[in-house]
Amino acid sequence: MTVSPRLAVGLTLGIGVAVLAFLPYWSDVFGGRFPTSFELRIVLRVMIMAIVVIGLNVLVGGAGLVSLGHAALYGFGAHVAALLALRAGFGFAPSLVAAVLGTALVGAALAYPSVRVRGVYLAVITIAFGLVFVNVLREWVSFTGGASGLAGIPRGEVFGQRLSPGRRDGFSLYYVVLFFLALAFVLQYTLMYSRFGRAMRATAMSENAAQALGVSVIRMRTLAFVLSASFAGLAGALFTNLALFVNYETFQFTQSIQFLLMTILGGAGTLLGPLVGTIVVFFATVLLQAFEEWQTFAFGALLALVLFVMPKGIVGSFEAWLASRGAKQRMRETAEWPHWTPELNAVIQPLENPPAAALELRGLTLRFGGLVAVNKVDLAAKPGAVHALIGPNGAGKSSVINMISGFYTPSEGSIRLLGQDVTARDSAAMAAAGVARTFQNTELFGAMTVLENVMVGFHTRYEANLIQTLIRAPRARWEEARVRREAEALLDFVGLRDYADERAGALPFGHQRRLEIARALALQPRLLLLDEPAAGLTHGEIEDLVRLIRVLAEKGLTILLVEHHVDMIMAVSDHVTVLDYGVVIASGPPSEIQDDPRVIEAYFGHAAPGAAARKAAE
Amino acid sequence: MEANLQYVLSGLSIGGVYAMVALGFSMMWSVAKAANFTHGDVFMLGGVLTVSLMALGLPIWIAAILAILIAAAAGALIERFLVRPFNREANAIGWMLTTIAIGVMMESFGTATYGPLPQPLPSPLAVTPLRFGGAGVFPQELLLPVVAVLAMLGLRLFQTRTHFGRAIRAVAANRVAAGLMGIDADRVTMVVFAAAGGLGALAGFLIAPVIQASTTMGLVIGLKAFMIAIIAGITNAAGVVTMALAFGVVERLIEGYLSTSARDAFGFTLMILVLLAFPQGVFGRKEVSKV
Repeated sequence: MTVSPRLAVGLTLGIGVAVLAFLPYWSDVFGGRFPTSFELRIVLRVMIMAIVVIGLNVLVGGAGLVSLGHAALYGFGAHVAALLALRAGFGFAPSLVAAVLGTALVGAALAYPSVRVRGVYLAVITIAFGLVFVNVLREWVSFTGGASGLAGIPRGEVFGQRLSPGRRDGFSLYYVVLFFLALAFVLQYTLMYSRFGRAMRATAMSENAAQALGVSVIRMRTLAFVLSASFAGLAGALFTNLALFVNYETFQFTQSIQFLLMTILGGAGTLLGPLVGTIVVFFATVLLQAFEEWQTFAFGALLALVLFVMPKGIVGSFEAWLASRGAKQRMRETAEWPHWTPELNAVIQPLENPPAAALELRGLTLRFGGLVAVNKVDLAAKPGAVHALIGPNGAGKSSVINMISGFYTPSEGSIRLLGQDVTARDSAAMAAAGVARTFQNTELFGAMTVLENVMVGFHTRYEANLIQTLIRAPRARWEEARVRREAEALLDFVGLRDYADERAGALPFGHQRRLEIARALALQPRLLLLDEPAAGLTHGEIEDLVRLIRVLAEKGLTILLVEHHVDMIMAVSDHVTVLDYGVVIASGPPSEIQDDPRVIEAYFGHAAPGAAARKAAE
Repeated sequence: MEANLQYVLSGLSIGGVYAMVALGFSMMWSVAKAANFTHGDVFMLGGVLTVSLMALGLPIWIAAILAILIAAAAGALIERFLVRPFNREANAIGWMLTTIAIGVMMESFGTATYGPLPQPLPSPLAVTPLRFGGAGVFPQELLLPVVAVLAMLGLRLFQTRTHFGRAIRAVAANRVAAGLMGIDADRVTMVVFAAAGGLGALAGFLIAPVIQASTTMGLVIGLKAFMIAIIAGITNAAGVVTMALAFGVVERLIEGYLSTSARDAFGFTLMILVLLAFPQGVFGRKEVSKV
């Protein structure tokens, strides 16, 4: 049994908001002293922290990145709001907006330089930022008050209502914070379950596959961090309005670790995890205070314990338990493929005015140091043709594919796609230009569902922007529904419709190959690069694959195929180019290539008995 | 002029510490594509354990050797139990969190038992400063960059001349292929983590007479060393050591010409800017990922 995320969000939101909204008036109905104003302030603190943790969850659970500086980002937002209110007389709303934007900007400045090579670097940079931030606050006394901090921050107002957590003001601040928590919670859902959320998760699972589908890893990671920082900035501004006093002590490294612990313990990547994690860790901290100087030690031990015992966190483990309990081992049916349906006409459209060559390589060369892997390769593939690239191991076939798909930068020569020069663009740009590919060792997004994998392939074709997506504007909803339909049609095409909600990593190998092709087609490519698609397939599957390739070619798609399977090449290709030691040694229709002595020599060497015998016979 | 000489000399000294710790990060990263995130705390062990063991009556050399061996064992254990099980998939982040957790525990355990205050470690090399004109520096301080460079050269010799050293390079280049050649990649990785831990503790022992040994000395130095390794190009050992020495000098110059409190803010900002200009690190080469 799985609960639909939408239902989970709706229920939590409905019940949670109702309970929290009622809480201040609890004693009016049930009598007693609960909640005292002190207790109410604790609830407020927890709600504010939950906003930070929701943001961190987007980063950790979505993009698979770690930040150890979120306390500092939170503090940055708090200080921006405090300074603007104190020194510039800003009201609540403008100082809040400035805090969010300012923190987002800092997030961009930290993330962009550090995520380009490895995600791990971001963690290091964020620790550094946290230390520097506290250092500056402590030392720059004239600006930030140093240890005595910034006190006497005026209370803000919204629509003429003074913001305070007190009864006299109708608990106005409490309700403002509740509003923003609910908003953050909803935005987390609309983000994670959108093309942006899918793209972020994709980059966390396979950078190569994400890039090959036009998802820029750098942009997605930076976006995730900027959004995450914005949540922290928002929470910081709210904290300022609650405490009316800020200094560096609230925003130190230990607090960053606490935020991370909340995220992981709750369940990174789950929607409810941040709420559960924040509540549990907050009250655990209160208990841990009894340990005095051993408190930090207990924290570390708790984090280690969670990672060993419950790496998916409370909510994540609960979800896994629910799923395993309710999973009827339903047999899924693998359908015949290729299975062309009329809906696919919207996805795979022939070119209107095809140029003479869909793909043209001129003098393409790739050197690794002194080694020439690809040497002045010329190749032209006609639109709608199946062009095979063959050669012995190490001939440079995969290198050619990697250059065309932008993973390697050619040392010399040019690549033209539909008459347009696309030499040396990066892989995401190549994908956007219409080059799709599969990988020799399939690279699926293993933890995502089969359908989600295909939907990531549609990433470049969405038109709704981030804001429209987050507020679920009609256009975004409509587009999402269309993409879902088309993705399902593609699954139909490869016979995997029945597997749509299965985890991609759990598919048998042959099905993974099929899924990878469906996902590549989602890009609506003009050129499809298949890197040894038949490797590991059964004989029957290869026959199906041949039919699929022919169907695609008939629809006008150009296909460049790297393959070792000779029967398959003969059956499927219109043209064959043979590489040996990086050089083109033959090129022509398959029937000619089959008997070309240079090709036979390249494969079998001079003394190949077959070749010798054939020569003797001639 | 004398002031500048002073900055350069003491900069090389702190740079030597960064170099040894950063070299450990580089070694660990090369073989595991992961690292002990709180290597700084292993470095701290070198100073703090030496002082603690001396307090038990052991002579300084025995105490230092024991401290280094304990740190090396800690490095190996961290690899075996906190990094390896959490570094199974590409882009895994578990190892980062587990090592941070253990680092937090080490530091607070130290603070609770050893005490929050720094304690001196007497050394015969930190009594009379050497004079260079008006600039003065303890021989102990000059020892650090020398040991760092020797460690780097020794590492290189070891990696090119010995069987086990070549195994390390093989694992760094391609873990799977190394495994297919009969190299026990897990064991190689564990040994490298141990060596990195020992080298870090050596740095902690050598700097303790200059800055005193405290349980909090690891965090910032470890972090800076990791960032230095990144901006140098983390797999290039010579580059890492060069960058670390240069960064030490730059820090001292910032301290001298601006202020001590500006040092970290400017230093870290500078590192982020360098990373912006050189995403692969200044001495790093773009890695060609086999697709």
